[in-house]
Amino acid sequence: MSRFQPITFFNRHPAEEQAQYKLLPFRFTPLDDERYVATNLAGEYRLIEREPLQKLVEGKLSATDPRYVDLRARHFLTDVHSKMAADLLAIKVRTRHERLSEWTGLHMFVLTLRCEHACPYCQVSRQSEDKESFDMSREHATKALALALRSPNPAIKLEFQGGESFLNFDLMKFIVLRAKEENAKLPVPKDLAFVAATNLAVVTDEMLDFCGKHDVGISTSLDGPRELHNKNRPRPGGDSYERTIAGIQKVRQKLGRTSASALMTTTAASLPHVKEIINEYLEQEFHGIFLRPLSPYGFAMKTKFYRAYDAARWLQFYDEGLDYIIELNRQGVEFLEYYSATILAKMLTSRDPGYVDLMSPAGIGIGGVVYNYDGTVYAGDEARMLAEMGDATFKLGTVNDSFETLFTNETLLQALDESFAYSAPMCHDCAFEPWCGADPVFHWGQQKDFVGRKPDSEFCQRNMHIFKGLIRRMEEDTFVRQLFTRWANLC
Amino acid sequence: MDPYLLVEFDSKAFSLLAVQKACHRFSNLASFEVQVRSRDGQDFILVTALPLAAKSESGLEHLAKQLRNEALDQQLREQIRVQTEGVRNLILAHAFSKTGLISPDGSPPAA
Repeated sequence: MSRFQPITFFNRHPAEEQAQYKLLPFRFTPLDDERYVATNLAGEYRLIEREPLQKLVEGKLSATDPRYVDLRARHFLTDVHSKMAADLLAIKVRTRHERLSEWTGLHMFVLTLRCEHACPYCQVSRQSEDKESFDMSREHATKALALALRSPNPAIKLEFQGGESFLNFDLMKFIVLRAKEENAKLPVPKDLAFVAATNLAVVTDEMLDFCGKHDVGISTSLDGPRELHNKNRPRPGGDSYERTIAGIQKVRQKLGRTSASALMTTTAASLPHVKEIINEYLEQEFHGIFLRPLSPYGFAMKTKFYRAYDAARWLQFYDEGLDYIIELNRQGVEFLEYYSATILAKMLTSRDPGYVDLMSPAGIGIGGVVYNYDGTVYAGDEARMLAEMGDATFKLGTVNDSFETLFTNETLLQALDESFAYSAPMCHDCAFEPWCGADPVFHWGQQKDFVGRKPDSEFCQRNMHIFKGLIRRMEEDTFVRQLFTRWANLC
Repeated sequence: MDPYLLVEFDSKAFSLLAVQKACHRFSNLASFEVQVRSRDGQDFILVTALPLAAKSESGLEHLAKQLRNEALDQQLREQIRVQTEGVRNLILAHAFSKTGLISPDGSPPAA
């Protein structure tokens, strides 16, 4: 005898045509002139036209309506046949927010502000190579490490940043070795991971041997083909591209094929070349690309690179890139776009991949924290970039402060509280809220407001467009739906 | 005076909050004044919209249509909110129970 109910059980309709159902909480946002995207409390979505939506809300949706069973199965309504709906929904909501109870897992150490590149879009205002006063000291690193290991999160990632992180390689070594030593002394050692953000230009064999031995992953920058990359990322000798590619190959030889990841930044010069950029990533045997706009911080603002294109133009670039990647997959070339995949994981599963910009409550402080070269602690990478521009709003304190003092900092709590999208104007009613983020640093930087006026927000404009575009592509094409489902489960 | 837009909403069909939210949605296009007025003993909500950038007559008409549709959506959202408030609070309380993130009296969790 089967342990499961037959399929007819799950397809049962109430006896009467006019069903007696109760609504469960859901939100809706127009997708186009006819259809709405409706999301339940756990972020599962369904498309629905205006007329059945009105009927559903007014309690007039017929039990024989083909949408009825589906809406019940997706927890938009509950009737006598779905007594567990509220409990199941609660479990999904809890799963989606499970990261909250784990607290900060990403701890970024700015080892130095020195850098031999002179990228005009640099978001951290690098310093010239010889100014060692912009290096982090061992004393500060030791205190920062103690704070990182104090986090209740069972998995801690230490990310080394710059400037160029390898220009202070001695400190990187010191932190890795000490972290392992201190971690081993904990009653319950944490799952430690290391990653170094680097342009790879100054990396030597000795450095990579150390990284290989201690599992330090490498995250580099690759903006596209030679000409574009070297234009975006000038350095003495004009050979950034050559050094990056040689570096990637060396990393793969010494650390393994999956140890190198790369990030691109979109400048105005990149805009007409999205296919060439993607082809470069394929050429270098990466499995995907993160199509990333410039952020409004540091030199990107000073040099006016940030304002060189608007959100609409970047979205055109992103759309063109995403469609090209879909076509590549259709031809059998497996390749993914990471930002889309992150959103799809939120759309199509109950997991939250924990991407800081798309977290609500915001990821600042509780998703990631930065220990700057001078011992100052910031509530995230963008927070320190803002501080380099003279606005220290998101400074939590210094490494001399206690863990409790830093993380109960009034500014942090106020920003988290005020920007919580669930209760922010417009976000509260938005069907995309379960997939979106609060990003108080961006909105503070742009509008001097933690919440931000969403009708004027580029963050909102960009993400709304992307959410709608992903849904439209999935709804129109079975192949894309299958592809996106795969991406959602990879991320 | 620059061209402006007047849109009336029946107070029996629309709540003030729904109209206010609809106006906020387009606050990147116009500045809005929302007033509750009375005519022949019947309340209505009067919205005056001053476009932030000059708009043609057809542009103003389009904004009026968008505003009316958005108000309809907002009113429907309000209906959902009212109907589901109890169960929403129940689900959220259940979801975050036993996580240490909330305590029965609402005080912060123990360190």
